[in-house]
Amino acid sequence: MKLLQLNIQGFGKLKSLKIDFSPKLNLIWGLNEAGKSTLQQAILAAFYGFYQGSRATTAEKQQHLRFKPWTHADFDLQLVYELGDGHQFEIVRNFADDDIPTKIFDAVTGKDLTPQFKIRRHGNISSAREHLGMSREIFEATVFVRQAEVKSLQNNAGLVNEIVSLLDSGTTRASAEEAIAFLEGQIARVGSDRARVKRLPMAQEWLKKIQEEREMLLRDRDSLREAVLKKQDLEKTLQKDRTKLLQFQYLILDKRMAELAQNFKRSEAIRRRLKELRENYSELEGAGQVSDSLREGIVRKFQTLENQKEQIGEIREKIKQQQTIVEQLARELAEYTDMRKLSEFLTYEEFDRLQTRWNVADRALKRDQDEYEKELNRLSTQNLDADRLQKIYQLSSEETQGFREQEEELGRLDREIQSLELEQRELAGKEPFTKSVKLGIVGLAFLGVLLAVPLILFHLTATGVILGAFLITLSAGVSLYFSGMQNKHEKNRMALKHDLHEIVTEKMEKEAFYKHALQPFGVKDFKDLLEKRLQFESLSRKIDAVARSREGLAAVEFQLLKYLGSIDIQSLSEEVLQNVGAQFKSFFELKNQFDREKRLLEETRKDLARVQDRSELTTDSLLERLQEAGINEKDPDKALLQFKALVEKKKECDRLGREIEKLQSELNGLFAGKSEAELLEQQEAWTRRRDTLLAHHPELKGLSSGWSSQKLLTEYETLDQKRQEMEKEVERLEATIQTVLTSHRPQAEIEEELAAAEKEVRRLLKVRHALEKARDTLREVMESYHRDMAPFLNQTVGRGIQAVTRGRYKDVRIDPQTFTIHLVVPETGDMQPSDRLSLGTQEQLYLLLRVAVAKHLSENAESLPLILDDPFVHFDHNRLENVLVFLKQLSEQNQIIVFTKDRAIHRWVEKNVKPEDHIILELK
Amino acid sequence: MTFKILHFADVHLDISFAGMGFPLEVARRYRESLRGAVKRLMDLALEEAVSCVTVGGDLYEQERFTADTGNFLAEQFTRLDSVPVFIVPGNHDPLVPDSIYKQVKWPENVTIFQHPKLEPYPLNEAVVLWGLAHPSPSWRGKPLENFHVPDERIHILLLHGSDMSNVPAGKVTHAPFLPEQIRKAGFRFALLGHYHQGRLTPEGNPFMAYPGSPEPLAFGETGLHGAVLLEVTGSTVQAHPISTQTYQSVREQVDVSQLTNRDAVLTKIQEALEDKAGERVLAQVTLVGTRHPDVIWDMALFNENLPKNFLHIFLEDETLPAFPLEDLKEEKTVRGEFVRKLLDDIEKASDDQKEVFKDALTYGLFAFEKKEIFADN
Repeated sequence: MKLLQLNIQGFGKLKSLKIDFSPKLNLIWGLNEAGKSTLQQAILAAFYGFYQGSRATTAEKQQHLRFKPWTHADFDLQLVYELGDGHQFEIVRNFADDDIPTKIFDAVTGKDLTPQFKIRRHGNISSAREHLGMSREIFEATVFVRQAEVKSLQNNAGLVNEIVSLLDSGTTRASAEEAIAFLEGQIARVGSDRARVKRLPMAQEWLKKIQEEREMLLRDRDSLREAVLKKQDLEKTLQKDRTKLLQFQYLILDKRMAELAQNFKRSEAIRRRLKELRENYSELEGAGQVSDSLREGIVRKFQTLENQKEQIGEIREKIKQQQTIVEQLARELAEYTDMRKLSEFLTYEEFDRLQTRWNVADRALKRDQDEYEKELNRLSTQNLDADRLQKIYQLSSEETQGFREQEEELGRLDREIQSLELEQRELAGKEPFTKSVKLGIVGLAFLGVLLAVPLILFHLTATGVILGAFLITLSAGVSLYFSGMQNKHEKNRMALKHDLHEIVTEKMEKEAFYKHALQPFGVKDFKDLLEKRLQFESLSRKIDAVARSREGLAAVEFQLLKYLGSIDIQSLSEEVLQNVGAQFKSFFELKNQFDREKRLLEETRKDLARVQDRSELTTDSLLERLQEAGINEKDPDKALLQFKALVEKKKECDRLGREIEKLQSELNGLFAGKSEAELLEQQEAWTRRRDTLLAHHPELKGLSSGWSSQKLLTEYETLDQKRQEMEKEVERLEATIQTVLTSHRPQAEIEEELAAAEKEVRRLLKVRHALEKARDTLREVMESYHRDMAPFLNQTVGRGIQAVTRGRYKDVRIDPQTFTIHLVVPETGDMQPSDRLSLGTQEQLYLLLRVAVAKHLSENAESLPLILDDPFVHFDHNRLENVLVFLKQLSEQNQIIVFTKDRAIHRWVEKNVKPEDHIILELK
Repeated sequence: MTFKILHFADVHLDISFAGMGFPLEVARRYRESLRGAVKRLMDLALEEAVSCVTVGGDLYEQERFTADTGNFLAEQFTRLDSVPVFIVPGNHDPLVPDSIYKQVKWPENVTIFQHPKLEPYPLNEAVVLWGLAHPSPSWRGKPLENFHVPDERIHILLLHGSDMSNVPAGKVTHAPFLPEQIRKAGFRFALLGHYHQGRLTPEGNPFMAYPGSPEPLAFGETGLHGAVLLEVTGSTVQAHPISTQTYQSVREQVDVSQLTNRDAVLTKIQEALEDKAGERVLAQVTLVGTRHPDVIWDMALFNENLPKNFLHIFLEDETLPAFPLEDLKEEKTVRGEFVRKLLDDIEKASDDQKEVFKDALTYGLFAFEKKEIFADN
């Protein structure tokens, strides 16, 4: 957007002022109070009016009034501007009217465009908002560059803050970061759990305290409830127990009175009874003279005597039985006559040993005989004659040796024959020439002769003759050699044959002789002879064995028959011996038994005698004791009867004595030592008390119990003890009930304070949540926005700086987090932060950023003018020049309006800017 | 001869005003005034020389009672001497084992119904009083179901229960019944308790009466607050409402939209409450509208400077801050984005979240202007 024309009829001190703006550089020069600021406000007011909301604020009203001209009535203006798309508009405002009538026209066609916009009160029309795409606040903040804003370029932080604030809030006053920090501060004011002295934790502390107070109260209220319930239960129980106590009281009295009456009756009965008993006792008193020890002694003696009699009876019975057994055994023994005879010679053990020896010898003989028979049978199966075997066996060692030598000689001859035969075969195999060789030799010889003859005959030359002779000689020589060889061989063969014949003949002769010698023994050779000899040896051993066995058996038999002859046994066999052995054994067993029984009988008889002796002694002792007791009877049985009668008397006497004692004791105890008069008096008192009780509690009448008064009293005392304890407990509970809540405030108050605390905590929590939500949202939005912003600014500022520095700087990097600016320094090619660059470059960057921000903040992305309000007052000459050069360049792309009082700027513009590219307005 | 019954109910001694937001001292005084109401009712009974007094339940609050409360009631009833007092325990003072009704040594003239079943007490030859006790705080028995009085005497029902034909908003019902059931059961009149806003029903020829609580127990309660005097003359039964209410409540709304400073706000509040002041007046003032941006909004300050001649003034703030949200949300700034984002969040939020997000929007915008949320530092 560019301002084209401003026509002010009246605005502040400005009157009838018309400005045709240059699209590029505009210088509004004027000294202080010339109206520069007024003119800026006029521009603002032209676009946005004075009132932004539906209600006029005081400040707005004040601002409106402030620019009302004092000296004339005109208070209106018109502003013509052109947007980036070329459209031109004219705003007409009349500030003199409070309603500030405002119109907007198409500056070219003159069409009234006012209805197209939203119109509120006091000239609040949305045209600027829609055309420029921003609010008045943002417009003012972005388009206008004040003195202080450029001043803050001393450091990069200042630069950054300015730009960031504009982006964040459309003002240079507050950035999102600052707003976030402010929110953090507010959150801190609310407080967290760690910050104990802040609002929220204090409120929470308060809440907690009240909650604890309420908890304690509720616990005490529970205790109260428990105490009340317990007290009620106890009181119910007490009520029942009191009734029961009354009942006990009544029953006790009643029972006591009944008991007393009964005791009276009882004492009477006892007295009567005592009299009787005493009479009886005196009658029996004599029996009481026998002491207990004497009586017990007598009883024991009687008992002992009785036992002894019993014992004697048993022993006698036993003797009888034993005698019967002994007699029986004697009879049985008498039947063993033979065995008795035998027993005179030997014991059963000795017989048994002999029998065993006989059995062994008999079995050995039988075994040996068996083996002998077997051997004989075996020999007979081999057709071996025993006689012959015996003859062989009887040969002397020399004879045996002779046979051996003959055998050996025959063997030697045999070997020799074999050797010669072998030699013969070898010789036969060693024919010097084969048949073919022989033929060949003959042939050659013949041939030689054949050749020689012609040679000699027909070639009678020396050579021929020699040659012929040679051939003939050769043939003859060969024939002779070969013939000699053949004759030798034949000679050898014949010699060999002769030797062989001789040896064979010798062998045959010796062999015949040897066989003849062997023939009586029935063997074929020496080996056979030896085998047969061994066989006979085996047989011979068996014969010997049989003989020995027989001898052994005979010896045993001799011994046995020596003894058994006494019982007419002449021969022995296994059966006989077994028979005898069995009988002999039986005899000895029976005899042993007989002897044993006889011994036992003797001992039993001795026992009997002993017991009888003791019994006599006992009888004597008993009679003595009885005498002591006054019984002089000598017969123990009669004495016993008398004694029993005495004992009975004594018992009765004792019994009477005990009964008397018991009754007397009872009598003494009936009234506990009280006199009759005392007892009667007590009876009367009890009666009175009972009657009083009945008068107050008639329901007790008729009550009865099976318990004694003592038991009733015990129960009463126990119950009364319990009652007292319960009453104490009831008192204690009552005290608790009365006091348990006294230390607390009324519950309603606590609950009310609790509700207030809860409400406050909720409120503060809500505030904190809202603050945190605001902070978090703002942070999120800020980061995203800055991140998105950076590329746009990079590009815009980059293009700008490239243009204004004629390409010296072109690469700009703006950190979206920190908004620090970096530039590529052409000298080094490095990225440098802007604060390392010259102030001039920084200022350029700043102004470019302002332009970029303004463009960005315009919803329509309108390029907006830059209106500078004397921002360079503190610049030195060089710096000023630099910035003016920059502005001039910048004006190529953005309309620049500079308000200043600096003459130097005035001069510079005049000098350095083409007339068509600028205007200078002097305000006076 | 006229048989008079003075009937009251729902005194709720020891009640807590936690939900009402009273300052503690105000709550204490109000609570104490309920005892005053009992005293006044006893005075009234003596003045009217009633034949008996009936209490329709919720005489005290079981959860919060003290021995002091029990002793106080016993003492007050003793003043009536031989005039019988009949009490039906209600849902707030049920006949539980540790009830005051079982702990206090009541004077002889006090009869407390003991069972959750209607039982008769003949008041004289002609009039019989029927009542029952709630056995627990949550008893849901239906007392008039299948019930009919046994004879032709005048039977009066004393009941702590809920008239289901007209239940006050938000009231939990106990011992429900319908008016026609009273007639059908044969009762000539029902002396009731449970609803705190009293009424005689039906209008013109009532046969049932809620006396209401002697004083309002919630802000803005209307209706009868007092007692009912029932007169039985022959076969005629007439009920007369008597107000014992001494506390009033007023509600006002103050629009602050055009006001540009704090004093103007205070002045407008005072104007709204003019002619309504009183030591026993509770006022609720709700501030509405859009706050002028010039006004330094300080609720604590407003509360401190409210008119003092009221029992208490509840000041509620329902104003909105003056932010030009329509303009702000169009900005291409972080602030504009913040506004857009939060407006979107508010749109999507639940009701609980909405309030928080709205405040977040305000605080965020305040933060850009470095405007404190807490007026005090």
